[in-house]
Amino acid sequence: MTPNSPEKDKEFIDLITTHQGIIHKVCSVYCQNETDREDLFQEVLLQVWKSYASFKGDSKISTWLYRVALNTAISMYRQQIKRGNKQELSLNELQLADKPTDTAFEERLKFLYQAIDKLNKIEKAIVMLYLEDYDYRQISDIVGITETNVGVKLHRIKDKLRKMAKNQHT
Amino acid sequence: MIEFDDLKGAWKEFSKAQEEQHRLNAEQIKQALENRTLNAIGKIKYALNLDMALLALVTVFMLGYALFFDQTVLPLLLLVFAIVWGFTLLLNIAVHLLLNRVVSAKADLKTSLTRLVQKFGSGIRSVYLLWLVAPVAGVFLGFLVHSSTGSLTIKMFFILLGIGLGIGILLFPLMYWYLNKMVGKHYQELKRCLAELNEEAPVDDSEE
Repeated sequence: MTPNSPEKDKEFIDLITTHQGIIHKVCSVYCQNETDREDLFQEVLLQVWKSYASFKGDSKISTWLYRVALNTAISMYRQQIKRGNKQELSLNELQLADKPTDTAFEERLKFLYQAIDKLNKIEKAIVMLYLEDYDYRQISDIVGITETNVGVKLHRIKDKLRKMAKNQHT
Repeated sequence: MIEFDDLKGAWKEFSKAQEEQHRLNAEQIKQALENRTLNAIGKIKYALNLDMALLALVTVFMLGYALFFDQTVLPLLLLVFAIVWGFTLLLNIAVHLLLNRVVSAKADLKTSLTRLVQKFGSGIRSVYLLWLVAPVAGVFLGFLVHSSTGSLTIKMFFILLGIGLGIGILLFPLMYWYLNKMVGKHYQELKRCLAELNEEAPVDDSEE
């Protein structure tokens, strides 16, 4: 850990404590097993730490965190070793503790996770930001493509998801 | 049929569950940051540092032997270790640059990927070039160190050039395989992502 003032350290830890959900979500979407997930979480944390000093508050904290987390998740070097089979998401993980049993909801949740998993890395980033209610301009700022292109890609993703849903029902 | 916007509700619940399941307190976050040296990347760095330390130990031992017991092998050892250290140092610098990369918090994904792909491309081309240049330089250096006359005729020049290039070309498949094993898949994946971002597809109005 790079030496820094204790106040700055505390400020950073507080920031991550509050906004860690963003990093967890990115890790869930880009990692298929727990080891990868832990590696990516630590790598994102480190990248956020290194970039924190240069954060001037020009954008919202959440937007800045998404930018760093997605850049890291997409470009991170992973060891070319096999880490066992891809972990299937268990039904237990899909069931939410405080949620009453709702088969239709669970079905949507399972479909969502499986569908996102089948998208490529860029599509995952775009659909994730869209599901987080970011508008086309904000997605365009984070991803670096035009708003029109964001629209085109979302249109394609919707088609893909529809086809997946159709296949699931047939 | 599941509609795209219906999934937003499911996503929000999924996000909430993920955060609850993996939530860390302040102390755990601090630990995660400090323990990062133990993760996969940390292990690669540790292995590299260990390699460098072992190489340094062997170098000191061999040079010590040459200096105190058999000075005739000193020039040859100096040459061999200079080349080995040169290669190891270059490889280490490249790997450290790759692993210690700082993601730009200001650049968008496309800009960041463009820079990374360019760096990777230049790095890989440099390794190919060095792989051919280094044996040629090594053969010429060896000739200059060991030649009693030190004179280099045109005929000898071409013979040495042929030997150097021959070594480089013969070992090229090995280096190509190793480089691809180390970074090939990652580089191809980065290029695929960049191509996806660079693609400006027309909207098909007939759908939706």
